[in-house]
Amino acid sequence: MTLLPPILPPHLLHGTVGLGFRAAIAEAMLASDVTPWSFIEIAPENYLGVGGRRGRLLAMASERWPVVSHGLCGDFSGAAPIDEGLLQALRGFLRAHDARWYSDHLCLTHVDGGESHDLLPLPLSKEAVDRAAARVRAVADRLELPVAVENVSAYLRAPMPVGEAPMAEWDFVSAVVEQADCGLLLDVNNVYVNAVNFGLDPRAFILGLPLHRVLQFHMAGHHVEAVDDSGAPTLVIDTHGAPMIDPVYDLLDFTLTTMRERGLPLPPVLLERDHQIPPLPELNVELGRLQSIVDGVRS
Amino acid sequence: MSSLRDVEAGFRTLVMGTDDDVAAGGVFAGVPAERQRVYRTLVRNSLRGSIRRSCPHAIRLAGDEAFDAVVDAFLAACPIQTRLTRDIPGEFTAWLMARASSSSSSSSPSTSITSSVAFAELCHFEALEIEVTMSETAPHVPGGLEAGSRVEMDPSARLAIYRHPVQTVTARTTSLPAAGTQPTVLLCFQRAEGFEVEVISPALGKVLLGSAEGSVGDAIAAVVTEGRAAGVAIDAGRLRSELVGLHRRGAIAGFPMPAAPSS
Repeated sequence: MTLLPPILPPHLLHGTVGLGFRAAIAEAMLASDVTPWSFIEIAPENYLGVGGRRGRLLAMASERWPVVSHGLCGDFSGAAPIDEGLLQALRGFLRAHDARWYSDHLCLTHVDGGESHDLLPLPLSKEAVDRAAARVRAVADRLELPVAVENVSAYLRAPMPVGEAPMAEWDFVSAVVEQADCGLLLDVNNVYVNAVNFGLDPRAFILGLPLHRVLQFHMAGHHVEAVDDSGAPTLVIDTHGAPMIDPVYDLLDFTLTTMRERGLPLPPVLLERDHQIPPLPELNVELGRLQSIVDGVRS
Repeated sequence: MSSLRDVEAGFRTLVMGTDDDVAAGGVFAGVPAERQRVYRTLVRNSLRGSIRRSCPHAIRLAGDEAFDAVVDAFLAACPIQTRLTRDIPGEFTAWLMARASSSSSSSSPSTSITSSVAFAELCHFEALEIEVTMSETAPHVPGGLEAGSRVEMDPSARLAIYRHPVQTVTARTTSLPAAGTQPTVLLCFQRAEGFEVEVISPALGKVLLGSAEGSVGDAIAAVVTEGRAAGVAIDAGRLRSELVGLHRRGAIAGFPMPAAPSS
C-alpha cells in the first residue's frame, strides 16, 4: 500500500486545525489576536466575482492564512455538461487565493434541469461510481489542482438500478476515490450522521475507507431530529449549526489514531460552522479541543 | 428505478414539485416517506432562505405566507439554473417581473399584492441592492469628458427602470408605492463599499445606454434630437455635467477615447 497517492503533494498543514471562513465571522477573525486556526477554508461560490467589503475581507484573510477551498461548483457527480466557464472562473479564483486544493461533495446537486443547492444522495451503484470518478478526473484536469471528494450525510438511500444490490457506503466512496485517483475529504460528522440514520457501526465505516487517501477532515455539529424510546438518536440532520458532540470528537480521535498506527501523516482538521454561528471565542474552544486531539495522537 | 437519470428526475419532483406532485408516500417507492420529506423540507427552506434574505421589505408588506407561496410557485415553474447561491434572488426576481408584466397586460389582471408590478419591482430593487454591494469595482480612471469619449461604467453600476418609485420604501412604509406618472430611472452603484442609488432623468439614462457603445457626443445629440421631436427641450450641457458628477461619485469608471485604428 502506498502511503500517499502521487496526486497529493507534500504540504505544511499536517497536524493543524482550520476554520471555515464565513462572512459572519470574517471581521472578528481578522481582528483577533488569538488565532488557534492555522488555515482557512473558503467556499468559492460565496466569493467568485465578489468585490466590495466581502471581497476585501477575503483578500486580507488569504494573505494572512493558507487557504483550502470547498464548494459545490465542481458538480462532481452531475449529469449536466461541465460548465466550462464556471470552472475557468473557479480556476482563476483558486489561483488568485493560492488555494492548496479543491474539494467537493460526492452527491447529486443538479437534478434534471435544475440546481437543488443541496446535497442529495447518489445511488450506491456502479453507474454512479463510474460517472463520479470520470467527473472528478475532468474537474481536476481543468483546475490543475489536487482534488478531494467528501463523503456526504444522507437521510435516505437512493433507489438502485433493478437487479443491483447497493454497495456498502465505504466501498462506494473508496471506489470513487481510487478510480478517480483523488483525495478524500473525510467528514467525520457525516460518518456519525449516516451511522445513526442507517444503523451502521461508525468505526467499521471509518475502517472501510481508504485512509491513505485522506487529504483533510471536516468536523461539525448536527441536529437530532428523532430519538427512540431510550432517547438514542434515530434521525440526525447535518446542519453545521450546533457545537460538536463527544461521540464525533471520539470518532476523530479513533480515525487519527488508526492513521498514526498505519504510519500515515495526520491531515489537517477543519471546523465547519455555517448556521447559528457563535462568537469567535466559543469556536476557539472547539478548535482548541480539536488541536488537543491531534496533538495527543501525535505525541 | 433503473438509472441515475431516474433518480435525478425523482429528486426534481420531490424537492421542486408542488405538494400535489408529491404523493403522500413520496416519490421513491420503498423509501420511507418521512425520510423523503427531510429533503423536500431542507431544499425548499434553503432556497426560500436565499430569496427571503434579499427581500425584507417585500416580505413585510406581503406577509410571510403570501411571500412563501410566491417562492413556491417560482420553484415549481422555474428550476434554479445558477450554481451560485447569491444569484438565486436574481432568477427569482426576473421570473417575478416577467410574471407581473404578463399579468398586468392581461385583460383581467390579478388584484393580489404579490402579483402586482409594484411588488415585483420592489423585490427586484432589493435584490439589486445586494448584487451591487457584492460586486467588484473598477479603479477610477482620471480624465475629462470629450465629445468622442465613451462612457465606461463601474462594474457595480446597474441601471433600473421601474413604474413605481420602489426606492422610497423603508422599514416604516405600510403599502406598496403607487405608480408614478413617469418611469423611475435609478442608477445603483457601490461607493465606499456601500450602496448608492440615484434617481436620474430618462434622458440621462438614455445617454448612459447609448454611450456604452458609441460616443458620448453622439448619444447626447440623439437624446436632444429625440426630445425636440417630442417637444421637450433637453439641455446638453446639463447632461454633460451630470455625467462628470457620476464619474466623480464612482458610478462611471472613466471616459476612455476609442482606440485609434491600427494602420
